[in-house]
Amino acid sequence: MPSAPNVLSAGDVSRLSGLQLLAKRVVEGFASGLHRSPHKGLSVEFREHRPYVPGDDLRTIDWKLFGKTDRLYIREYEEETNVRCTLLVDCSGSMGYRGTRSDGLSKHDYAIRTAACLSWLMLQQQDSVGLVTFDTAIRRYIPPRARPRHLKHIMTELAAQQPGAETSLADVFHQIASRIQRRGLVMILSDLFGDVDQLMKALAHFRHARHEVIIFQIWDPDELDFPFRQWTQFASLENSAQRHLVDPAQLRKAYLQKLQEYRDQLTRGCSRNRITLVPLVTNQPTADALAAWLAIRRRVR
Amino acid sequence: MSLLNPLLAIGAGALLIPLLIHIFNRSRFRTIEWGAMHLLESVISQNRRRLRIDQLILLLIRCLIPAVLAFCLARPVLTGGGLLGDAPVALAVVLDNSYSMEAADPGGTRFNGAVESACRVIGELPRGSQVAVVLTGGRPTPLFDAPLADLQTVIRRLRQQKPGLGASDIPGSLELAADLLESMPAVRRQMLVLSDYQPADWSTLSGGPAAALQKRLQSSDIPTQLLLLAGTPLQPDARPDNITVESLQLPQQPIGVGQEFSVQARLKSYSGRDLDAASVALTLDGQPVSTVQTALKSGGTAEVLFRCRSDVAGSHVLTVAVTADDLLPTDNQRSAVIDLLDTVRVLLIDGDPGSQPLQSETDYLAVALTPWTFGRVPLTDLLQTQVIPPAQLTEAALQTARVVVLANVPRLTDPQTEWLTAWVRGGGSLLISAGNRLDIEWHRTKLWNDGAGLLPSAWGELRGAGDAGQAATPAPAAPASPAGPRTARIVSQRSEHPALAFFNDPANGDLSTAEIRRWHVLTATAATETQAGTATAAILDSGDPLLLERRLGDGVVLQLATAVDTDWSDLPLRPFYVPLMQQLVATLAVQIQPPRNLSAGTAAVALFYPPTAADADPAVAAKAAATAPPPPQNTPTDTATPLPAVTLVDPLGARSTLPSRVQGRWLAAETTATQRPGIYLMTLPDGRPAHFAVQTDAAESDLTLLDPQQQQDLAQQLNAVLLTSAEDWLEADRRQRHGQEIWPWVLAGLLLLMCLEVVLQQRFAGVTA
Repeated sequence: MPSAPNVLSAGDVSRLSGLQLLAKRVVEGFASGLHRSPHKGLSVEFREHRPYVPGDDLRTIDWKLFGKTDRLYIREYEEETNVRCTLLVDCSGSMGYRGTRSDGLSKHDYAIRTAACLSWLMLQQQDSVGLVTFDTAIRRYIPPRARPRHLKHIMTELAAQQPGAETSLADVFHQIASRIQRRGLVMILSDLFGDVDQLMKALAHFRHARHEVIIFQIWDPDELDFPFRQWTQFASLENSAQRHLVDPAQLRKAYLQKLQEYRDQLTRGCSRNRITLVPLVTNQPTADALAAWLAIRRRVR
Repeated sequence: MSLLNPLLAIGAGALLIPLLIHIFNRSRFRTIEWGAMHLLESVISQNRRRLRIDQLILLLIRCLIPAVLAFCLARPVLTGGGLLGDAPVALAVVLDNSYSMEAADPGGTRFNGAVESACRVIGELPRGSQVAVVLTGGRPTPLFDAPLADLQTVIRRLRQQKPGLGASDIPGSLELAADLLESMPAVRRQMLVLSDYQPADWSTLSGGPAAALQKRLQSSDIPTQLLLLAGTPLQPDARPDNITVESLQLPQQPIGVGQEFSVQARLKSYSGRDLDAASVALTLDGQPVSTVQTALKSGGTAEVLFRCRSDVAGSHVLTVAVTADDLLPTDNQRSAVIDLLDTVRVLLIDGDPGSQPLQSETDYLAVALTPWTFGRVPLTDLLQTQVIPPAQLTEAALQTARVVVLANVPRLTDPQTEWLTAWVRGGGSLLISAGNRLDIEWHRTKLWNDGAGLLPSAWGELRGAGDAGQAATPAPAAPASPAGPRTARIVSQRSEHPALAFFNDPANGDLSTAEIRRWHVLTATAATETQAGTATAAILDSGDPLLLERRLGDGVVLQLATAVDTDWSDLPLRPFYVPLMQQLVATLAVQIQPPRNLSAGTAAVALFYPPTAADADPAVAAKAAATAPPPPQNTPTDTATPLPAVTLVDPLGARSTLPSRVQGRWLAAETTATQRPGIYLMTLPDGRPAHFAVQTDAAESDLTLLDPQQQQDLAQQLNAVLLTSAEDWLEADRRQRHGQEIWPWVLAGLLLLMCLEVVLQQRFAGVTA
């Protein structure tokens, strides 16, 4: 079993340590003060009074104000809290693709590294990080924690993952959406291969639960430019019965067209749902990709 | 279609390579565990069928590329039908060497251009080819005895040829070339005609002869390819600039030493410009005689008359030259040969001598033959007469005479008859006239002898009223016919006989004015005509012949049906009696001499006396040449002494030696190599020259050529290929022999295929999603 240093190289750590993760929007939490949470809860900084409605916790009633006004008000505080971030790592078979131009990294490896970087970065900021690994179904769910020791837990879990089996992203996302109780940041590390419409519905489910969704779409360079020349039998990583012997050169253009269509569709769907879609290519260094994204993210904000 | 490098065509097997690569690729494919299958699968399923076809097309093109490359490297050659390669060719070159080919051309003369073209073609012939050359000028003549395979020799000999011969006999030349071709073994036969295509030469070919020739050339077992090579045509609108002396007319009658004679020259202009004063000069043996100026219109003719005389006997060359700067200088002069007679000895044998002047039978005749001597005029008579009675006729007396006249001779002795017969057969000229003293019976048996004797005809019935008093002893066998006409006159008609042709001009006298009172009926039967060459020279208006001529051996016999004195006619009283007798006797004297003005190709014959022993000394020979020909001392039949040879110089200056042969009393030297117009000079053993002027058709001087359209028509008639230059032909021939290499086209096709492959590959890669 690989230990945490194996997963996260020293270079990666040093590169990430200077960066600050700034969530696009203020989410709940208060601990480090950088992230403003719109959630009101038990906190020190008063925010507002609001009239009591049945169902509110009786403990939140401002009895002093009741004494003055004879009306029931609820006292609300601004809550400074950690970002509750859940990493969704796709462990399906299609993530097992290992191109020749990515230093022997499969997409899955790359996703694992990226997930490790992100979790290390966020735990550094005392944000809570959770992890969901899935293929056809949820493999493992680690709820978000902000403790530094939690990192090792996540790392261990990540290192243990091997790609395999088919994916049905939409189904799994629905399940996950229903499992994550509190709103937070959902970071999906996946290739998102599947039916876009259903996928969008599932992502909309996240948005419906008012999660902030960031998708790191992992691409192998081979998948983006289809560089194959000689006769090739393409065997599906997810379904061993699917095999096609073709001359890839003849298919390249059509493939690229299809790919573009797919990505456009995905981009359109994400922007409609206000989901940030970040394509990552496995021949880019993991930290570079993250740093680039964080820079974009800060500028957008 | 054939391949020059057939081995390389095996390279076409390389088409297996793309096929193998294809199969190899398909079998040695790479397997990729692919993630984005949902993208790939839809693309594959949508294009599966099209991909398959595209692959097939691409594979086909890729297989074609090495195959086409191999085909290209094998150097394919396109051949129409059978490819002959370097198979030997039988080539007959028909070369026009008529003098019109001497016309100036941009590249020298037309002839030079034609020869160079022929040499180019011959130089490119394959090994083992044979060449025959036919020269068309004058008479079609093969240049070589047999077709030659040594092409270098052919080229060398061709370059030595000179034009200048007479008009071309094109049909004959083509037939001769076809004959030669048929004798030559080869796979291909070609006939290359190099000519200037003068309409006069070629018009004889149009129609039937052309069709026959074409049929002949095509129907042979190996068809002959006929090639017409036309030189550079003149500018179509420009008239070729040429002026020619078309003809020279010399007097018909024999001319003696010191006699003045006229030379009529006829000039013709083929030029497009008028000449106001063309300078025409006459030279005699190279010495200028006179020069006149004459105007010559464009396309017109002009006649110039010269008068001339010479005091030297023998042959003389008369040359009329016109000074003009034209395309063809050769025909600006024309020569003719005149043989001036020395004194001709005439032996008059008088059968009816008389003591009074003009009483004897030959008195009128002697006067008529030597008028100047008789009239004591200091002029030279052509003839010299000697009158003897029949008894004095000896063999020796005959030897010195050129002409013998038997005038009213009753009979001769048998030896005399034999001598006379031998003398005539050996080339003597004999005139026999009738008279009242003839022994008709003796004449019939000895001299007529049923056609075997000297007489052209037996003396037949005596006709006419006559003068009874004069007829002392009328022949019992031939009494005057009371039923016949009393007198007769000579029919005035145009005569072909050289002696009587003089009187074709009425200014020279009218023969029909004479009244013939008595005459013998001479029967020129058909049998005798054919057997003995008898011809009627003049006839009477009674229908009876007056003058019969018979060639006997090398001699000639003239038989006059009436007398030469005034007994039977008033001929001697007529003004034309002198010229008539002069003409008759002089013509008889020179009739033996073969003509000196010849048309090209006819034999030039010189007759001369056998040299005597004294002729061995050159000085004596020269003296003999200046004086009369020496009487022969030895008989030419003496075979012990070798016959002398005669030197011949032809117009080109080439010297050759001709053997002589015995002909009657003479020796004869003969050459038939007179194709080339000009002056031939024979130097006889006694040192005397004998010139021959060989003339040819003046139509050759018309330098107008067939225009391109007519040339096309001609080529079409002959089913011939019309060439404009030797290079054109060589190129076409090379293609015909070796075919046309098409590798550049194949290479282009290959490049096209390669481009197509790239384009298709690009295009197929862009199949719809």
